[in-house]
Amino acid sequence: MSANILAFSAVAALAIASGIGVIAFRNAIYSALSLIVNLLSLALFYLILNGMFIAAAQVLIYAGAIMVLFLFVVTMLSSDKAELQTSDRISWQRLVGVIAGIIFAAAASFLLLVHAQIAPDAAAQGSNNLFTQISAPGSGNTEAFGMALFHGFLFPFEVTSAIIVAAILGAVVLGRRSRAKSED
Amino acid sequence: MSPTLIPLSSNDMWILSPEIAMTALALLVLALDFLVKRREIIAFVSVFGLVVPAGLLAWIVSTPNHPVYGFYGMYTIDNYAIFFDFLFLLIGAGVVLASYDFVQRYMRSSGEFYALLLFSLLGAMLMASSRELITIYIALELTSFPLYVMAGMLRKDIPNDAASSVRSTEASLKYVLLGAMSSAVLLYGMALLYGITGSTDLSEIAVALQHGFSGGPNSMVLLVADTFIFAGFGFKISAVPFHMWAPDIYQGAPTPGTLFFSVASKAAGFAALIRVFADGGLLNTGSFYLWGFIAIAAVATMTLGNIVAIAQSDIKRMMAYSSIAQAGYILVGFTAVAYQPSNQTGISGMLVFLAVYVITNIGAFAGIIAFANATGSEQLRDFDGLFRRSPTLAFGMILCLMSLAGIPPLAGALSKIYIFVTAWQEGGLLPWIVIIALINSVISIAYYIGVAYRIFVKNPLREDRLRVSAAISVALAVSVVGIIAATIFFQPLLNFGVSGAQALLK
Amino acid sequence: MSQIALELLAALVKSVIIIAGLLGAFAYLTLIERRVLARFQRRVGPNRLGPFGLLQPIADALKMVFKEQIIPTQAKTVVFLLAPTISIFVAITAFGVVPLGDKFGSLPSYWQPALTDINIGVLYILAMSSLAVYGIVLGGWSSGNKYSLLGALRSAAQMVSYEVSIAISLSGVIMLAGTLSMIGIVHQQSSQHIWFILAQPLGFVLYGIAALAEVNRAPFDLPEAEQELTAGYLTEYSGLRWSLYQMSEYINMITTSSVLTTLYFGGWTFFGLENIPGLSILIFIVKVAFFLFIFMWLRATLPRIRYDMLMKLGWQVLMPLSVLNLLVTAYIVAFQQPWWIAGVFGLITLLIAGYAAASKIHPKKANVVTEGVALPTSVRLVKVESTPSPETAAIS
Repeated sequence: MSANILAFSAVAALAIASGIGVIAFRNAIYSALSLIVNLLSLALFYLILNGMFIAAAQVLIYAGAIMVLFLFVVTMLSSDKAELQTSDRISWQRLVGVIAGIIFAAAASFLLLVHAQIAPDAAAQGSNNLFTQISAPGSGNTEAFGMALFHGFLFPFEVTSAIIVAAILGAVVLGRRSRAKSED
Repeated sequence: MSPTLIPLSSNDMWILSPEIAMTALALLVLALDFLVKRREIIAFVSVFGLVVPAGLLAWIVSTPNHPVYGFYGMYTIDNYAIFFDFLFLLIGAGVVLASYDFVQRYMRSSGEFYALLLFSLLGAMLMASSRELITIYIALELTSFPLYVMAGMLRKDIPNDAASSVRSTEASLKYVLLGAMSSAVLLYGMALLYGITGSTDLSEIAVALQHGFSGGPNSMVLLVADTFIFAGFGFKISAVPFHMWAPDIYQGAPTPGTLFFSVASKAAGFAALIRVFADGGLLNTGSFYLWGFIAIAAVATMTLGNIVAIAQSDIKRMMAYSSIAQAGYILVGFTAVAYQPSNQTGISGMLVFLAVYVITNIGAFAGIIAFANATGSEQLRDFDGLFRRSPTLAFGMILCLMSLAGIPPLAGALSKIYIFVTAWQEGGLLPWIVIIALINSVISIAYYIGVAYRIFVKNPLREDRLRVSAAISVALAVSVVGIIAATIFFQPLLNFGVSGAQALLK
Repeated sequence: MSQIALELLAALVKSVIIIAGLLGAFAYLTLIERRVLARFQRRVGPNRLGPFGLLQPIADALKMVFKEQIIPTQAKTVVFLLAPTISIFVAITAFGVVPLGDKFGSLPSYWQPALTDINIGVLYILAMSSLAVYGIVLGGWSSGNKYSLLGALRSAAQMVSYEVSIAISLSGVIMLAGTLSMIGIVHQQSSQHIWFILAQPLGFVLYGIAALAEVNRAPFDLPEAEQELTAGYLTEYSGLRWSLYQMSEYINMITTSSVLTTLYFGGWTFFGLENIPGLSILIFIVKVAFFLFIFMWLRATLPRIRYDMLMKLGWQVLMPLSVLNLLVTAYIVAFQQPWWIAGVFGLITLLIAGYAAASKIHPKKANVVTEGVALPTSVRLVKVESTPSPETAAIS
């Protein structure tokens, strides 16, 4: 158990540090790199929870595909002046933001850690519905995942296809803009 | 090893058929855009294609003992969902009619606009019908993605506003960022709920919260989950303090898009919000804190919306604040529901108010779009003397604005009174909130009357008659007739709303 | 010793052997490639140092070690130093799930020559190789050189585009085998008495092409196209850091060959010969070597393809075909049809695609004859537009 906690603490520290890095770096590329580290540490969380499949999918999709496109755009845009020369228009905004963030983190962790009784046993009381059976926790393996995705959660999974069509359509519509402009 | 598989039955497909027809319609419009040169055909298909899902819906409703649940309880077609489905179909028809000329004139990709609109409506219909958190979230995203794109679709500057296409892009970007943030907040709340109850199914959550959760219904973690979920939907319905996006995006987006945001996003947001809180048993949690929080949001929403609306010079910004204020009135009803969770009249009041608001807003925006098409302006000062330039347009708009202001005997007033009376009867602190809401109604008359004053009394800057195209005339006429019908037949509408509320609070 | 300690020891020994083996294989692959290429080009190749030039890699290594390692002044130093390490790290870790051979007789299973058998083996390899792009992108960007950056961007676009086809075309095998574990896939092939190449010829070819692009090998080596980009992302690298990149490229090649072997050619099995103790590793190595040779053959034969064609190939040819393959395989698996239906279908599709490609490369009417001079079809004459008049110039 303690090994688990140790691993969790290490990964959590990495995740938080990289998360801060995302917003603290002035250079967009370093921010993107921090985000990659952050996403990888999420994959490590999944591994700690025995979610092999979801961990690999996390690496494959987020770190391997989405962030590559991020980097692609960022390196292309800012190869010369990588440093973002933005000055805050409202000077006290940053300070207030930090204070508000700390208050929020403290309040949320107080509420969650002190008052929470997050009891997985509550789930079992829910019902004898097939739905809970299928999405039963503790099975991070690929079969359970596939079962949940293609049987229990088939409906939302199919709805995502509509989202993807709409998103592609949107990307095409907005992406065509520049060419339409130059034709004018 | 593997759980027993229960195959989907044809019943699942049957009750999903309105949504399937909607998807097919969206894809058909997309294909037509590719194949057909004449734009009228696309708009025509988009409007009249809505008859198919509406017909399927009516067929299901008229079948006695039709199945209510499908897809392992994730999807439902109870009276509540049916109420919203019809509302969304109405929105679709109204927005396409009102937007036709504007889209032709200022946007390059008209077919895509209608297809995106239909996809968004599909998402909205699913939001009203889903009884499971992941499905609700996915439906929410399906509703939102097209909205983000529609906000940025203005290609050519509107004549009197040189930066309007730039502002449209800015609106789109802002909308994406804030939308992503609201999704994150919502997901955080849902994750907490899942962590507490171990299920994403609303009815199982309700059962678990009642029996299985050791923290009791008033535990802090539940309150945090409630708050986050409310905040997540709060963005969609533009409740204060999550309203900041609305004015900028309403102003920057092409006006048909603005119309669509102001009705579809709000109705879908309320549909899912009420569903999650009622079906998921969250109304029974959090006790004083929950309804107190909602009450504060309601008071802040209507007060801020009404007061800031007075100072606006751009009519779209004014309508943005007006729509924020209207959300505040609906939240008064929600406060009553949170105060007394078995309050069916509260929910039916919200539903009816939403329906009337949707009809009225379509009319008001149809007027604005018609005006923008004819003059190329969306500034309030250009509305001066509209009565002399186009009496029908002026009358239509005024009727809609009066209904929004809640001037009796129009439907807007009836639904508002219904909500206020419901809240008043709960007693406790609620009468005070109703009093604040009444004061707000009086304030709101100021800016609605301000527009009326400009239209009727002031002298026009230019004397030429305005030409209003057929499509918008139809949209405006439908809306006006709708308002009058809702006024005369308020009781049947109310019965429909009550049946929806009964489906939710069994 | 306790069980856990033994397993740890086994894992340690195996990983040391595998890493050493990979590095050695890299060293000699460079030599073999040079010799093979030389043969293709009717040269002799390096044969001076030792018998058949066997000492050449050692000499190369020494040369690399003593070369100056330049860090350009405009480089982002930390990332510049880190990038090759990422590349090699990812390349070596990806190899971790490749099973080299069968169990040794009665020895416990943790001595099986496979570092680990995780139940998501194929996905793990995909995930790791998807990270390989960072080594290249970061190396290119941090060099502070336009050529490097362009090479890096090309590589990013290329790898993201081809990853999709890779994943989809591998799904065919995964569906047939019903498992993601590499060892499980080998066992499935021997229990179903086929090599999956027979059922998945289309998937095999698609994966082969896409994987070639994924490891940036010729004819897809655009990130380092010397005519256009000097040496692409490698431009500013020298000495050992340069050789780290080379090393990761060759190791990726080995991994790809191993995946091809394991997924499509029955891994370490060969008609029962694998039951002779120790021979299974040899069988595996021979099969991998066969694919490595094909890689070299392709490099010697095919010219580098143009960038827009690369993108077109990836998105408009490979991806639709791999989805088609996926559909047909899904049909076979779901309705329990015999595997040869998919095989025949794949072969027919390949023939059609090959014919279409061939007729595109060699159109029947070679009408690119200009003023009596016959030009090869690959040459396209640019149509020079008339010089714009001042008015049109002002408008544009």
